[in-house]
Order: sequence, then C-alpha cells, then structure tokens
Amino acid sequence: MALKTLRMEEGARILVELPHEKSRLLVHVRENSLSVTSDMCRHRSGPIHLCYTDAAGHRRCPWHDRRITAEERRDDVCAVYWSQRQMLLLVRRDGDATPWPVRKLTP
Amino acid sequence: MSKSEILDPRVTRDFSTSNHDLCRDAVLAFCDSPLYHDNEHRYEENYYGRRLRPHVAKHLDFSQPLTTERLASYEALSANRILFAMNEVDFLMLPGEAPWEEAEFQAAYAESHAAAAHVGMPYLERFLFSLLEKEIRLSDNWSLPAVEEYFRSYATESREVSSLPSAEAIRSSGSPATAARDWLVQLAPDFLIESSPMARYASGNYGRLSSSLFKIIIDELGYGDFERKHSTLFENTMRSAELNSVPHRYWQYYLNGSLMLANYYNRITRNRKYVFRYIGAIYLAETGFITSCRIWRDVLKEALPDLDTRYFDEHCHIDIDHSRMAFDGLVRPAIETYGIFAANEIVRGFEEACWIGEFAEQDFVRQTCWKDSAERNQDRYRQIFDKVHRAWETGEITRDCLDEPKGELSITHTHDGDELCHVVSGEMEFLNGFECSTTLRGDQGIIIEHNRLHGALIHSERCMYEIYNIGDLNRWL
Ligand code: FES
Ligand SMILES: [Fe+2]
Ligand SMILES: [Fe+2]
Ligand SMILES: [Fe+2]
Repeated sequence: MALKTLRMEEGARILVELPHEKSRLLVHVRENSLSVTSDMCRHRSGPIHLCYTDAAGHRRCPWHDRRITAEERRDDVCAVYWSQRQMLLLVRRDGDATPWPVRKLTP
Repeated sequence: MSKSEILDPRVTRDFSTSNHDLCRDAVLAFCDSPLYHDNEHRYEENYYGRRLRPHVAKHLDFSQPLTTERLASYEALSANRILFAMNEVDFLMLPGEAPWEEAEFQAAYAESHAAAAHVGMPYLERFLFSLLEKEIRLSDNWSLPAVEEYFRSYATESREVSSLPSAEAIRSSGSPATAARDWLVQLAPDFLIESSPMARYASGNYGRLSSSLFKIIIDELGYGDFERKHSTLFENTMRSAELNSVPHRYWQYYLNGSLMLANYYNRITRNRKYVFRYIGAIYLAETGFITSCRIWRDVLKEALPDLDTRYFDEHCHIDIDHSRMAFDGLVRPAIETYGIFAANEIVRGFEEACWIGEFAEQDFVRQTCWKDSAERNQDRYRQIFDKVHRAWETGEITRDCLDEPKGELSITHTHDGDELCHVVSGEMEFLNGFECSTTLRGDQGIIIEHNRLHGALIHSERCMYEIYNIGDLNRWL
C-alpha cells in the first residue's frame, strides 16, 4: 500500500524507512506545521533522529559529531494530520508497494 | 513626488480583516434591513427574506477566530446565517411562483447592501474558517504522483462506503419520514442554487482548466434544458416530499453545519485566490457524491416511498464522469502547470471540504437525536424543576422572565449552555426543530439542550414563561 494511517499525538515524530530508495525520513507534527525531512546526515548518513545538543545548543550527529544545520525537505512521502482525531496519513509518492516500515519515536 | 505614494486616507486606511471596526460596521449595516428583522412566520414568507435575528448581532464578537470547541455555538450559527445571506448578493434570485415584491428586490440588491456584504464576508470567513489551519495540517511537499495516489485510494474507498451518519440518523429516528424531509431541507441551501458557486469560475481567462470546468457546469445546468438542471431536479424531489421548493423557505431550519458547508464552497469560489482549493474540493464533491447520492436515495426512498429520486439517480450516473473529468481536466493539469503550490492547495481544499462535510453530517445527527428526545426532555424538566427553582431562589443561577402576546415567534436559535423552559401561564408551541413541536401550557416545561436549534410560538392571548440558565443538565440529575 502506498498509504498508511496511524495515531499520533501532537509534537510526536515518526521515522519512515524507504529501504528501496535507501532513504530514511522524519515526519514531525508541530503546533502549526507538518514537516517531512531527511533523517540521513549529509556526511555519512548518520541517524539525525538520534542527534544530541551540545553545550552551545547546536544539534550534532551521533556518528562523527558534525553539526546538523538546515533540515533537508523531502518529497518522497507526503502527509496530512487531523488534529481532532490525532491521525496522521502518509502517502508514498511513488506508489511502490514494497514494504516501508514506519515507527513512532519516543520523544 | 514619489510614484509609490498613493494613499491619501480620509477615513479608512486598512481594508483588511484586521480592521475590526470597519468590518463590524459592515456586518451590522448589512444586518440592518427589514429583510432580516424578526417576524411571526416559522417558514420564510418573503422571497428575499432571511431571518437573521439582526438585533442580536451587535452583541456577538466575530473578531477572534472561532475555536473548534465553539464550532456549534450561537456565534457560529449567527455568522453562518449572515455570511450565507451576504453571499446571496452575488446570485440572482427571481421568484417563480412566489409573489413579486419590487421593494424587496431593490433592497436585496441595493448597492450599499452589496458593498457592506463584500466588506463583511472575508471577516466572517476569517472568523469561521481559521480553525481549519489548526485542524488540518499538511506537509508542504505535495506533487502530482502523491496526489494521484491519495485521490485514487479515496475514490476506491468511497465506492465501498455502505452508509453515512446522516442516513443512519434517518433510519434510526423515531420518525424517519420527518428526519428524511429534514435532511432534504439541510441539502437545500446548496442544492437549490446548485452550481452557482461553481459558475463563478466560468469567468476569467485561465486556459484549458476553464474549459474543463465549463463542461461540468454545462451538465449541472442541464445543458440548457431547465427540466434537467440539477436545481430543478432537486426542486422536484422536494415537492414530491411535500416540501415547498421556493428557496429558502425553510431558512430557519438550516442547521449551522449545513450553512457552513455551503459557505465554505462560497468562500473558495468568490475569492479567486482559492481556485486550487476549489479544484480539490470539487474533486471530493464529484467523487464522494457518486456514493453519497446512492446512500441518500435509498434511505430517503425507504422513509418517503413517493419520493422523486431523479436528482439522486442523475448524480449516481453523471458524477462518475464528473469525478474523472475533475481529475484529468482540473487536478492533473493544474499541478502540471502550477506545481507544488497548486498541489498543496488542492489537497487542502479536498481536506477542508471533507472536514466540514463531516461536521455538517454530525450536526444533523445531533439535531435528529435532540428532536427525538422531546418527551424525555419534558420528563427531565419534571424531574429537576423544583431543584432548579430553589437554586434560582438562593441566587445560585439566573433566569429570564418573558411575557409574550399571541403570535409572537422566537426565531430559531441556539444556546451555548443547557436551559430549562418553564411555562407559567398560557400556551406555547415549543419548536424542537423542523416539523417537530411540543405544546407547553401552565406548569409544563422542557429542557433545552445546548447548541440545539429551537424556537417558540405563542398560541394563547398571552404567555408567561421563564428560562433558567442551568448550565450543564447533568449536574441536576
Ligand atoms: S554521519 Fe553524521 S557526522 Fe558523519
Ligand atoms: Fe449536480
Ligand atoms: Fe456533478
Ligand atoms: Fe431559546
């Protein structure tokens, strides 16, 4: 299926894997926006969702500690979030039916 | 002299919806017309008349956007009524069977009236529809393939839908025939002027999209044959259900949700910057209608065996084409030409129309349930009246005392909290909603549920009654 719906609270983050395209995405529901960004560090594809914040308040990649600057917008997956129902819809752009695991990240 | 120095304000510099004083003046100026004043008719007798309870409007605050929790409040109902009437300055309405009233025609289309409407409409729309931004959040990366995936899956799923909340409400109502007629009334604000909002997009110069849309408009208008015009088909449906088909004869019974849905389509057609939202919304309507019309036809026919169902038959048939035409002729070329902006807006229009459509269905479900509870609400009145009265005596709650003459009609309205109505003397016909009344005489009464549409008509020479503001019914039970 190219569509998935899942329950999700405001502020939560979802990790989407697209093994076929060798990519990983982060879906983030915020107060007034819904973003789909790459989860792969530009250096060697380290997991951005596991990044830490240094003393100066900069986000850094867990693999080689480089700074993560701008979020890289991706359009492989599009999303709708319905606040009242707390439901998130994910639509895979390529319509590919190969498995694409999705999991909720603990904050 | 700088060529960009244009303004030379004498009175008003700001024409945006942030100019609350200007917009509020416009709303009240629009409401200040005999077309809208209270009168004594439960059904609209004046062709151009719309009962807005205009004397209340100045006590309402439309300056802060409505929150979802207050979507069913009286403020929302009032804003939806006023906004619907304002949109009518754009639509030509001429009476067929109803008598011709030149003075009312002049009043309905007066320049000052239209001017006030056009200042007031964006303001009320901001009040009513801002909550959608919070309720529906979209990623801003939509594209043609993603929209195609999503819409194709919607079309497949919608074909498999076997019932709708509105249909279930009719079927399980204590009086299915009345509920069925009520549902026809809820469809009327939209269907009696069907395709009027859409036809706004007949104007302009916007390439092939305009011709694709025009093909749909042609069908909606019965390709020039009055008998086949969709609004004519719906008028026939109404008459076969023994309803009057003069628009908007049942004005007072249009629910908040029904008006809001019609107002949404008005918003995205009157303001042309929403053209892509409209394309998404029309794809939803044309696609969803294939199934909705089948479900409504079946349940309505069950409840009203003599119903003329040609309106619904026509949509089960032609909207298969319209859905395809809307995708291939509007959605696809719009995104191909105008890219990501068009794609994001199309999904937004689709979602917003869907969200409000569901709200309208729920409003009808709740109203039907409230009407069916008329007897139970009298029982509850009997159960709690003494307690409520004592609470009033000790100053814990407030009440209003009314003394009204024969024929006095309280135009239908809603309250934000539960209320208790107690008749002291005389006779009142309490209007629980469309074609549902409860007669109340001395020492009888009823509970009025918050957010539910109701009214009252006095039948005795005088009627004295009291309204207790009980807040939440449950605390008294
Ligand atoms: S992979 Fe992120 S710093 Fe090397
Ligand atoms: Fe139609
Ligand atoms: Fe249609
Ligand atoms: Fe009331």
